[in-house]
Amino acid sequence: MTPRLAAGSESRYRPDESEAQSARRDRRESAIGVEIIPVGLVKRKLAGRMPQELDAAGLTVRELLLQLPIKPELVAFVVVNGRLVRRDHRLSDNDVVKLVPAVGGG
Amino acid sequence: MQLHADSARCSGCRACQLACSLHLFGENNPKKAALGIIPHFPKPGSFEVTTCTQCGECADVCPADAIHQNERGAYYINSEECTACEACVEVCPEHVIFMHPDHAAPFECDLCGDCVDVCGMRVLWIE
Amino acid sequence: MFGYAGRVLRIDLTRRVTTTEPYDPEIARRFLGGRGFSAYTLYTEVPTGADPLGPDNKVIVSTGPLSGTLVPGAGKTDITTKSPETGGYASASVGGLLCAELKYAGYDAIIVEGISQSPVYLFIDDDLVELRDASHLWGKGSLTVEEQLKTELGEAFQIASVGPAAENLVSYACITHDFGRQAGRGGVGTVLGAKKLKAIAVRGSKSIPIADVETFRTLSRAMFKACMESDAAEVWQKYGTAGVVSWANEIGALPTRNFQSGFFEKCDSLSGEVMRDSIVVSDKACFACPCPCGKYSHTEKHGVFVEGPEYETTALLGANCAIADIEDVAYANYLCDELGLDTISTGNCVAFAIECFEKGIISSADTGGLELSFGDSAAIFKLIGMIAAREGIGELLASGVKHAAEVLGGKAADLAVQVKGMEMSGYESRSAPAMLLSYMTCDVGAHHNRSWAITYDLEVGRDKISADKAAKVIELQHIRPLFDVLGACRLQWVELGLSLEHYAPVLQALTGQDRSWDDLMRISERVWNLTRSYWIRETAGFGRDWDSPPPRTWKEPVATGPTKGSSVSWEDNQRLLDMYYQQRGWDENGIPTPAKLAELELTDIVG
Repeated sequence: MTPRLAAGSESRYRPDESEAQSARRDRRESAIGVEIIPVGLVKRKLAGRMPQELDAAGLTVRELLLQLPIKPELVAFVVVNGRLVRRDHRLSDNDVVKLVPAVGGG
Repeated sequence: MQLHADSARCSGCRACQLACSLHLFGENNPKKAALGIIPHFPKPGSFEVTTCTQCGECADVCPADAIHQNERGAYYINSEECTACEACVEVCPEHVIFMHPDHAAPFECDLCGDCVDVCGMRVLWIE
Repeated sequence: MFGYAGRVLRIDLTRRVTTTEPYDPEIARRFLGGRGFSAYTLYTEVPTGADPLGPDNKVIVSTGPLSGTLVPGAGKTDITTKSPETGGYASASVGGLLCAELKYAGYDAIIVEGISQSPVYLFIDDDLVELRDASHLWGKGSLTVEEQLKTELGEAFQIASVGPAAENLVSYACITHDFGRQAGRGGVGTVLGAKKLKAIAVRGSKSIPIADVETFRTLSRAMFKACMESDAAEVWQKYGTAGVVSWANEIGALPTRNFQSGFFEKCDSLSGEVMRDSIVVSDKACFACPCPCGKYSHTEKHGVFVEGPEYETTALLGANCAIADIEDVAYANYLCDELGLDTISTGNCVAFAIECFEKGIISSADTGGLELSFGDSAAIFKLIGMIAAREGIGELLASGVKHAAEVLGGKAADLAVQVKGMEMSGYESRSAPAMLLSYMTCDVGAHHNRSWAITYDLEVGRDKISADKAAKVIELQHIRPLFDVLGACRLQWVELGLSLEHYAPVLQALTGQDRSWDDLMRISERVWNLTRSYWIRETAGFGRDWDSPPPRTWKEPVATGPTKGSSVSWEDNQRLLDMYYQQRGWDENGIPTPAKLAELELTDIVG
């Protein structure tokens, strides 16, 4: 929904999906063809250690995880474009891949 | 402007009602909130959210002319002018004018937007 | 007292008398509330040696100071009693909206005492408290009772109820609330069944007072914002804990076929995504939670609605029983919810029975002709019904696997996957020693939620048997139960990554009492040592032996899957225990030393 602001009034709305994505652009790591969003413990382990040249489009999720400098077991959920996928799911160009640990804090 | 709700997304947490009572009365009390959450369980397993549409019928019916509009354009009941006749409560088509034993006057949504800020399921918005 | 309702409701079922008394500020100072209040009450009011099913046992339903306030996840109620399954400390936590409504009615806790002559339910409507006849509800399922009471009394009433399993005194009967949340473990429902208290119905209109409204509002909004901005929120909202079923399988932790393995070859059909696609109809939250983990489902195959199945139920009634159809798991979940059985213990008992059957320890003569095998859903549904009714083989299983193994004798003890008499929950831990230590030392028996340490094993190396693992377990055993004391959920911290730094300030703004995070952890450590002392007092010879893991974990390596061949040797589990006791300030038998008790200001209570 695109809210319209009436003159002199204030509209309070939650950003829609694309706005939320652009707001989080700074938290992303880049891999060629695929955007990777690490979360929580996975993010802490990956910070500054993403391989510079990683052509991820065409890899399975399992293959992608093996290329990253973290233990694959630490990634509990792999969410591609908003859907939970299996480890044998094959990635495509422009996929947004979220790597979520079972533990966020603690 | 009014508070809108996409009920299909509601998970029934009542955070909106808590935020509302905190704003209106400085208390934690969902029974003092100006929006309604109606559960439908065990079937079909959904929640219905009722909000004020700012239709103005409450102001029209008030015999004491105690219902005005605030700077956001929301209708509100001036508790000092209110005679507690409850005509507004009866006439409200959405049943979103509420009463509570602690307060003589009924209360309704003043479009503060605090509920929007705590709704994790993006049910609520104001426009 | 800001943040508290300020009153305790005491129910004497024997004399049919209800009274209220002030919430003691000194108890609040030392134990804060929630599980802390309950533990103190259990220790000081229930006499030593009380029969769990007798009139001297009490059930304490306890809210925390955060309960019912605008803090994310402020919906947790602790229910504590002396366990009819283990004979020791039982504490189960239920979400939903119960604690909020109880505080709005003006009560921080309910203490249920005695035994009613006939079935009653507790009716609370602000100051009006009545014990009402429940003969029209007795014998009915929990979900049915909830629906009926909401129709009779009004939708605004929050209902908690027990099912036929509790009435029949099955040792692991649960309490159900809000159409699918449970206080599940240790037989907290059983005790209510023994007391003939069928249900609690509560409605409240009062406000919870806040010491510093503006600061509270600012801090609480910051917590909500942080939760909603968490990158993890999306997955937990969408899948709930069922989302980790596939991961648990990948790491070889998904209990399969009575914990013979940690890998279920048909796990794909039980995944969070399959579940979402096939049966989930809505996301259902507990009080004030922006990240609803509840998945309300409808199975067309079986024609029922159920909240779930969440991770534990899919693990214990799914993979552990080798059921591969998510709709069958949902139906088994529904049966347990309606009959009022803890799904974890039930799934574990069923799998135990199946393995005994397959190995000839029991036969169809014992089961009344029912052929049991892993994956046979129809037989499993039937067995669940028999347990609830204590019919046939259900009678043997109704007291739990430890007791059943003792009765059967011989090899059966090797198949009983339990600690302290409580069936192990959903993490096969032979390849995760810190998790195994968590199960060994959990304060109610083999439950995972005090210290979910499995990711620490993954992080630092599974094979390590080291002091830092013991330290991690202890740290988690203080933090996670603190949420039970506060009356709020841990998911915002554990899964969403909400910083723990929010909690002390928001509690202070609410209550007006100055407590640092360290103060709160000290309270949690105090509660931990108090409940340890309760076991010691109630259980002759309690000590190190009671912290033993199930024989399967050191006698038998994992049968299949990515962790095939793993086990934690007896020597290693004892080494971990040594390190744990030493770091806790307990002696080598696991008994808190007088110095430790004095440090925690427990000497006047424990002696």
